[in-house]
Order: sequence, then structure tokens, then C-alpha cells
Amino acid sequence: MNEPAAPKVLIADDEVYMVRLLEMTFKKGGFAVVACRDGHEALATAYTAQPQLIVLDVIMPGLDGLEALRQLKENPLSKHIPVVVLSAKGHALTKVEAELAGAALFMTKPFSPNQLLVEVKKILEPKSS
Amino acid sequence: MASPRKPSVTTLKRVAILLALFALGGWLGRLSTFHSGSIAVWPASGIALAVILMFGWRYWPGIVVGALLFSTIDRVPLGLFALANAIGNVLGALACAFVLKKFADFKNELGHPRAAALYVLVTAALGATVNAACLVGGLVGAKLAASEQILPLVGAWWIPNALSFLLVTPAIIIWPKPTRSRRWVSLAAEGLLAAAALVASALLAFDLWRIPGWQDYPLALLPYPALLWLALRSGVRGAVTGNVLLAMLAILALTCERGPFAVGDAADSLQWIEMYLGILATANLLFAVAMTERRRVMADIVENEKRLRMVITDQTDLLCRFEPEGTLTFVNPAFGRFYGKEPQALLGENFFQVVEATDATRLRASLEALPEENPVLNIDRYAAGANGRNEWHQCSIRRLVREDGQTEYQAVMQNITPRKRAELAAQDAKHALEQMNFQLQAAATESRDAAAQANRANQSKSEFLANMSHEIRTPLSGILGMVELLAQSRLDKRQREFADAAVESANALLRVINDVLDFSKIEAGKMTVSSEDFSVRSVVDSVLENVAARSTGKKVALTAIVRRDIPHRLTGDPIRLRQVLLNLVGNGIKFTERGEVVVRVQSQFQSPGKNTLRFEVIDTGIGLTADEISKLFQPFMQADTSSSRKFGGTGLGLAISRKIIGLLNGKIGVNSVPGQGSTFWFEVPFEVPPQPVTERSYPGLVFLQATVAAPDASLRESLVEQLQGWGVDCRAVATAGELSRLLRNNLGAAVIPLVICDDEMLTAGGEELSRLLVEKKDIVSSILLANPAGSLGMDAAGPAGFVNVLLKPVRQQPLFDALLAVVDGAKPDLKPAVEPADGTEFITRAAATPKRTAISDLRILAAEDHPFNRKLCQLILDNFGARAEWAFNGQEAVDKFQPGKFDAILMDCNMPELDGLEATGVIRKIEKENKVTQRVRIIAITANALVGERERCLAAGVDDYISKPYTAQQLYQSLLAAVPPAADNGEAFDPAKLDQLCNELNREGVVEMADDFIKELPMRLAEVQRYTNEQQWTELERATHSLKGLCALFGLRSLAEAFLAIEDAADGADAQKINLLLANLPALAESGGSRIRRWLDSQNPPPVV
Repeated sequence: MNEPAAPKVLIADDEVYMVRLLEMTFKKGGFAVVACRDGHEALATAYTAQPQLIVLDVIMPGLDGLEALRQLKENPLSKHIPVVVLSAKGHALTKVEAELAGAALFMTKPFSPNQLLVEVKKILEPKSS
Repeated sequence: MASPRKPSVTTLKRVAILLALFALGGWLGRLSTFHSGSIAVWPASGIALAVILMFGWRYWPGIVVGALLFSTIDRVPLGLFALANAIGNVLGALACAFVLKKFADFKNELGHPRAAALYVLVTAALGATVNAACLVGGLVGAKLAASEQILPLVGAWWIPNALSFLLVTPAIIIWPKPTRSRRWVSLAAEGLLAAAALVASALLAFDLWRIPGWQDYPLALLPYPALLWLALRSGVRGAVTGNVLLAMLAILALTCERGPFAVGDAADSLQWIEMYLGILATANLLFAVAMTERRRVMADIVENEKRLRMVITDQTDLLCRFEPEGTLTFVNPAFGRFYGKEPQALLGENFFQVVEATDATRLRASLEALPEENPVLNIDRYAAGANGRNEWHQCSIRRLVREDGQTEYQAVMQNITPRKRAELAAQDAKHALEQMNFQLQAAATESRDAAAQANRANQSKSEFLANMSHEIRTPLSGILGMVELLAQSRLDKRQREFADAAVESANALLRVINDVLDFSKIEAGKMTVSSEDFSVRSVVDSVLENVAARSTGKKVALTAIVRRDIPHRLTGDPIRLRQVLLNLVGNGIKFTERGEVVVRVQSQFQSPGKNTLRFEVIDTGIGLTADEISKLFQPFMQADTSSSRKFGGTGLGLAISRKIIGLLNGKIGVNSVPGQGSTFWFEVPFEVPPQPVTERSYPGLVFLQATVAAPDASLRESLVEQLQGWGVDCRAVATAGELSRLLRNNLGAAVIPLVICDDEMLTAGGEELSRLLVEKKDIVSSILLANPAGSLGMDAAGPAGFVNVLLKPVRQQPLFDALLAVVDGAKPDLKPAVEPADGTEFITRAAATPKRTAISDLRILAAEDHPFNRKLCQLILDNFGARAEWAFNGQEAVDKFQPGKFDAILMDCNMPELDGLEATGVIRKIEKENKVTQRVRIIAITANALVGERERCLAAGVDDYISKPYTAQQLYQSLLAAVPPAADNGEAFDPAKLDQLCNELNREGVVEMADDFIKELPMRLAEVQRYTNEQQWTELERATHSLKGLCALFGLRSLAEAFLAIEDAADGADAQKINLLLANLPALAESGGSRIRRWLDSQNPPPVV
């Protein structure tokens, strides 16, 4: 069996620098990165590109991260994809909301890239084994 | 459609044809008439029928004329005979045409045997008879014939007429018909040949063409073969033509008295030839018709066969026929294609092997078991064809019995793969759906069970919580009591702070637990209501006192207005009432940033022994939307979930209040306008017990004439209500000017004049009012109402000549006592009511052990001309452990200022010589001249928070402003921003963040990103400024939120904090605050940026040369 192509991660964040940071982080982790700027775009991309992982920022113009997460989890096209929610507000309520909506991981910004990769690996590993 | 007046061209043409035909017929008739005037064929009657059949009955006048013309040409004298003949012709033709059209649907064609036979019968039986009858009738009528001659005459006339119908009419109606055959040229040629043969044979037969010796042979039937030939090849047209030719030649022979029928006697000859022509023509006509019919049937069969063959050949369905044991007898090309063989090659092979039916035996059995009636087998099967072509086939196999009696099966196989796939998919989906339905049902059942369980659990949870809270409260009370005792014992300063903090925390915990306990109690139905006598005023006072003690530092006025018509004592549950009020007032304070919270109590319904009171808690806070109101009284809900973060609290208060009011048989509600404030109200019925003899009344009070001086209307109303309730003569003033005027006039002729003066009034009145009060203190007693937040009262009371100081909110008892003291002339102790230690102690203690706070080391210049305010300010600064150099007016401030000497300047705006804003301008100018990088923070202190004041201050170069009266907290906050960057050098930028990123990710990427960010930062700041200017708070909040995150990421702590502050302010749409915060941004960004740049430089050492 050939090793499949690099796993794909979809990043949705309206802040370009955050996208750059996440991009560097995931590229280091061996991911192929697809980035988009808001929730609506993220939904459309998730349905079509079928990434192995989705990273959502909570606060985005248009469709915010939590709402996007809910819609991703409702759609049979995307409900199997694990979602990481990033929030600058480390508010407990946001975390609870994200977890209730089905987030696989909730992280507050600023985060350590290495730690993010470790956590992400934990999410993705049980599937491959 | 030709009208009689305007005959159309067609009609004219037809009439011409008609006349021509009659003329021709007449001429022929004349030729064929032989000696006795007998005639074999009477063409006129045939022509008449042809005309009626072709053109219609309307042409009968033409026929009459034509018949007469005919007779004329035929040399029949015009007369009765000719007329009768014409009438006979017309009537005979009309009768025939009527019968043929009406009953036989005759279409002027003789192609069908039935039509031809009918034509012959009708014309012979009817037409010829009518014709003959008319003619003979005419003859007899005209006495040209005797009546006994009728029958022989009819017989004689019947035959020529019948022959005419048989020979002439068909020729006329058939010839104009178009020929449809494609081979008409060769057919015509053959027809001509046959006609020539006919003519030749007839000439021979009738002895017109004399070959010596031949006339002795009976040759009469010699033309017959040629006649048949013509009929066979040229159809009906050939037959009628042949008939006409034969008749013409026969009659010609007769006129020449030649041939086999010239038997000497003319009448016999005539009968012979008539018989001969009649039989031959009839036979010939019927023969031709039968042949034509046969040819047409054959063509139809060939065409059908061709059509069917093409259908089968082009069919995409697979078709085949096979015998019972399987031998294929027919396959169509589609069948061959599917199985990859030529159709011919497949014939003879076994059907069951070809289609590879694995269950051939069963298939054969089910074919054999097919019923006699409708022996059709329908099955779907997955067929494997050649070249790996697999398809779903719908097979329909029918059993047939061949013409030869042999049984055969015919199979039709249609490709239904797409449909089948869809069906299978649908089946799968349906199955999945059923599965899901089942799971859903299971889940629903489960959740119902769970709900029931949850209800039970909730019940037991409430009970558990009630018990637990109680259990927790008991030891907590112990802790609280012990810590309070500890706090009262001899402690050093640090220990006292710890103890105070412990008491405060324990109290907070106790409040939470009490809430939970109450709620649980109510939920568990264990809360009881007591019934005892109490005073509403005391309950309200205690609530206000409690809340005021908890909310020091908030610039919110707290006032109670209890209507004096409310009975002093009521019966009810004061504990619960207090609890609800405490909650509502506490909420009011919590959600009100500035303004006031007023408690209003009035009587709503009165009846003997009963009184329903309405309590209103009116605040000027953030208010509530309708949506929030709907959630408000639910447990664990706050109007806005984010407010729980901002304001704290369990969210149980209102839910408890509602339950309690329910227990008290009252109702509770709220009216609110978002942004303007809320009014929480409740109405509770109380019993009215017998009232004691006037509790609070003192005869001496009526001698008082009190002047209530307070800018706040609620406070005035509250005081006036109370004073008047005690019988005090009372008036209220709202401005310092009014009070000063009254003071100068010695307050009229009061027996005992009294001024109750609010501290805000004093601040507004300034030095002049203070001076006046001191001047008049021997005449007018004055009581100061002080705000515990400011320390004004303690210090100012003495010098201003106040006899007493009451802390706001003003409670009934101390006010009453103070009034009594005034009346008694007793000078009360000059002590604030709640602070046991005297004011001087407060000051000395602060001086002895200077506090260490963030602003302790600030170098402050304070410019203030008013000694009273100076004192106040000094006190506050001392309390912070900070010291100030003093300037007594603006000029002095400018004189004392040197760049770099001070961190902050507190600048009163209203000062003699040079006012605060002018002085600010001068200082800024000096800084500019000296090219100072870190300019001094100037905090303006204004007397009035007028609209426009802020802009004026900021325009003058002020960094911040606070308006009088200010609280210690406000001053502290504003001064904190002046702590020089030197002090937070370590905080402004933390390179560890970037270093960490560099270590974890690739260094160049991180460096580049940081570099880009720093370059972009000014643009981002401009964007923030723009959002602020355009008041796009949502956008601003989002932008600053984002920036906050980025700054935190890059380790720019101060900037991150600044953005966080703006984000919070944007959340509240607080434009003033945002503008103040924005003012600091460029400096912060500049310092942060330069630090990052330095870090970047250290990352990219210049290349070694």
C-alpha cells in the first residue's frame, strides 16, 4: 500500500497573520494546507476538498466559527471531519459551546505550534491505526 | 359552392364537359343505330349517371338539356319521346346515385369487389328499369304506343340502358382518376399493346378484318384473352376501356351486318350482341376488380412485413425465439450483438446455454409450468454478455403455438440496468432510513426515559443541594465569625488586610451559598413564609445601607422614597421582603454605571386591614431588551451571558425573587428601555395591624424649617417626603445659587432654620457657598449629606460649619436623630456614622505607613487653587502612597514645570491667572520646543461634564480628564496610565514569545511574519481609528480583537492589553473611553514596534564581509 498524499487541513481565520502562523505550523507537521477567510468559505471548501482536519477561528465576519462548526457537524459531507476550534477569548462558555457542537479540540490563542501539532496528532492517530 | 346567379368557372367547365359528352354520345348513338332504329347501347343514360356521380345532383337541368341535345344529334325528333327519354335519364341517374351514395357509400371507384358488384346490381335493377319505365310511360302517354306494348317495350329499352351503365358510366368515372403507380410508363405501354391485341382480335372475331375462310369458325370469344390481359395488367381502367372498345367494334360489326352475330334478323342480332357484351363486360369488370383488390392486399402484406422486419432489426431490446428444449429459431441483431455473435450463427444453438442461465433447469420448469391462459413469464436477471458486458435484463418470455402446431417461446429482454441500479440504491437508502428510524425511535424512548429520570434527579438534586448548602453554611458561619473576631483583634496592617480580604471572601461565598440554598429550598418546596409586624421604612433603609456599603466607589446615587401615607407598621415577612429588595437594588447598582438607583414604595390598594404595596426599583443602567426580559426570571440566566463575566453573580437572584414574591401572593415584573434603564417592580399585599402611637414624632420638630439643597431630584423628594412625614416645614432647592440666596436672606423667619446640604451641592457652590455656610453657622444649622465614596465630608464638615454629617444613602433613624439634635441645640459629634476612626486618624495612618502602589513613585504636579479641593486631593494621593508638588494656579504650574521633571500633572480647569487648559497648552509648547519624546501625562479635572468639555480638553492637549466630584478610584486609574514606560519596559515586549515560535517553527518564516506585521501595524491602527470615527463598533471590536490576539502572539503585551481595553469598550459602544484609549495607542505601537525591530535586527545580523 502506498502512503496516501499528505493529509489536508482546512484553516479558516480572517486574520492573515494567524493564517500564516497556522500554515507554518501545519506544514511543519506534514500537512497540505487550504486556507480561507470566513465561515461560509470554510463550509464550501470543506464539502468539496474533504480535508482530514478543519481549524476554525471563533470570531470571523459573516459566519462565525461556532456556527460554522455546527453546520459542519450537521452535514453528512463533513460531519466525520475532526474540527479544531481556536479562540482568543479563553472563555469557558465558548469552550463548552464548541465541545457541545462537536469540536474535537479547543485551543486558546496564543498557542504553542508544537503543542497544537501534538494535540492534532492525537486526534488523527486512532483513525489511521 | 357555385351560386345559381354567378356560375363559377368550374361549373361552366363542367357544363361544357357535360354537353360535349352528350354530343359525343349522340353522335356515337347515331352511328350505331341500324335499320329498324334499334340501338344496342343508349349512351345518354350512362353519361347522365356519370355526371350525377361526379358533379352532384344539382346538374340535373344540364342533363335534361344534354339528353335533348343527344336526341337531336341522334335524329330522334324533339317531342314527347325525347322529353320522356331525358326525364328517364335524369330520374334513373338520380335514383342510382341516391341509392349508391346513401346506402353503399359509393366513392366513384370500382376498386373494391363489393362496390363493383353493388354498382352493377343497382344500375341494372334500378337505373335501367326507371329509365325504361319513364320512356315507355312517355310513349304510352303520348299514345305512340299501345298499353299492351308496355312490357315488351320496357324489356327492349332496359337492355341498352343497362349496357350503357355497364360500359359508358365506368369509363367516364374511372378515366379522370389519377394513376398512382410509379411504373405507369411501362404499364401504359403494356396497356396499349393489350388494347391493340384486343382491337385486332375483335376485328378478326367480328369479321371486319377479312381473312378468307376464317368467318366460318366460331370466333366470337377470340377477343376474350386480350380483354383479360388488359384487365389483368391495367386494372379497372383497362377493363372498362377494353369493354368500351369491344362494344364499339361489336356494334360496328352489327351495323355492317358482319360477324358471328349478324344472323339475318336484326332483332335477334341485337339481342345476341347485347347478351354477348353484357356477359363479357360484367365478367371482365368483376375480374379486374378482384385482381386489383388482390394486388392491393399483396402490397399491404409486403409493406407490413417490411415494417415489422425493420422494427425487429432496429430493436435495442434483445429478441429471440426458441423451441421448448432451447433450440434458437430466431434472434434479432441486438441479441447477437449482446452475445457477441452473428444472428445467423446463433440459430440452432441452445437458448439456455447462450444466456448462461445458471438455473436453466428451474427456468425451463417455470416455462413449462406457464398457464394456458396468458403464458408469459416476467423475470429480472443479471445477464453476462460478450466482452464483459453485464446488464440487468427484464425478460418477458411468452409461449406461442406456431402455425405448424409446434410450441415455441419468444423472449424479449430489455436492458434496465440504470433503472435497476436506481432501484437498488433506493432500496439501500430505504433500508438505511428504516435503520435510522429505528435508532431514532430508540433514541426518543431513551430520551423520554432520560427526561423522566432527569426530573427525578432534579428533584433529588434540589433536595441534596438544600441539605448540602445548609451543611456548608454552618461551618462557613463559624469561619466567618472567627475571622471577623480575628479582624477586630490587634493586628498589624498586613494582617488586617488579609483578615479583611478573608471576611470579604467568606461573605461573598456565604451570599452565593444562600442563593443556592434559597433556590433549592424553594424548588424542594421547603421555604416558609413568616408573618410578623415590621416597618417598611426600616427594611428599605437596611437594604440601602447594605447595598451602599458594598458599592462604594461607584458614582451612583442611591435613594429611597417611601410615601408617608404608608402605615408605619405592617404584618408580613420582612426577611423575604428584604431579600427581594436587596436583590433588585443590588442588581440595579450592578448594572448601572452612572446615574441613580431609586427605590420607590407606594400604596397600591387599600382596604380596611389590608394594604397592597408597590415597590419599584428604578435604575439608569444598561436596560434590557424584550428578549432579555423574557429570560430574566429563569434560573441561572442573566440577561446577557457575557454579562455574567462582566458582572458576576449566580444568576439565581431574580429567579429566587420571583419565587418568593409568588410565595407572598404578589406579582413581579420589569419595564425597561435598553440603554435608558430598567424599573423592576413588585406588588405584595400586607395586613395592617393596629398602629402604635406615633413612633417617630417629636413635638419640637414642627419648629424646624428645613431647606433641602440637593441637585438630585430623587434625593430631594426622598428627604422632603420623610421630613414632611415628621411634620417638618420643608422646602427644596436644586442649585447652589438658590441656596446662597436663601442663606443671605437668613432663610426668612423660621423659628429653627436648618439646611440639609448635599455634598454635590457644596462642590458646585464652591468656596462661596462654603464661606456662606460658615458665616451663617450661628444662625442656620446645617447638615451635610456625604457620599462615602469621596472623603469630602469628614474633612470639610468642620470648616464649613456643619453640625452633622450624614452618609448617603440617608437612613431614617440617623436623620431623625440629627433633626432632634438640632432642635435640642445639642451639637452632635462630628463623626461620620460608619467610620469609627476619626478623619485625622485616617490621614495620619496613611502618612505613617505609606502604601506601596503602582503609582507611589509617580512624580506628580497638582494645580488647584481651591484649598478645599486641594485638601481632598491630597488625602486621596496620600492614601495611594503618592505625593504631589502643588501649584496654586495655572501660571505657577507652568513655572514649576520642567520637561522630564514630572510624570503626571493634575490640572484643575478653573483657575485664576492662567486656567488649566491654557496652562496645558503652554506646557505642551515647551515640550515641543525641547523635543521631548515622552510627554507628561496631563489629567484635567473639570467641574462639569458638559458635552463639548471633553473635546475642549483633548484639543488643549490633555491626556485624560475626570470630572468633579471624582472618586479615588477614578484618580487612581487615570494616574496609572502615567506610570512611565521605563517601568513597564519588561512588559511592553516579551521576546520569549517570538523566540519560542522561532524554535518551534522555521525561523525565517517567523521573522518575516513579524517584520511584515510591524510594517503593517500603522495601517491597522489607522483602520481602528477609522472604525472609531465612523462608530462602527462591531467592526472595531472585531479588528481590535484580532489585533489583540496578534500582539499577544508576538509578545507585545502592552499593545495587546490596550487593544483588549478598546475591544471591551467597543462592546459597550463607549466612544469617550475608546477615544481616550486610542490616544495612547501610537506611543505604545511606537515603542512596541521599535522593540520588535531591535529583536529582528538581532535575528538578522549583518553579513560578515
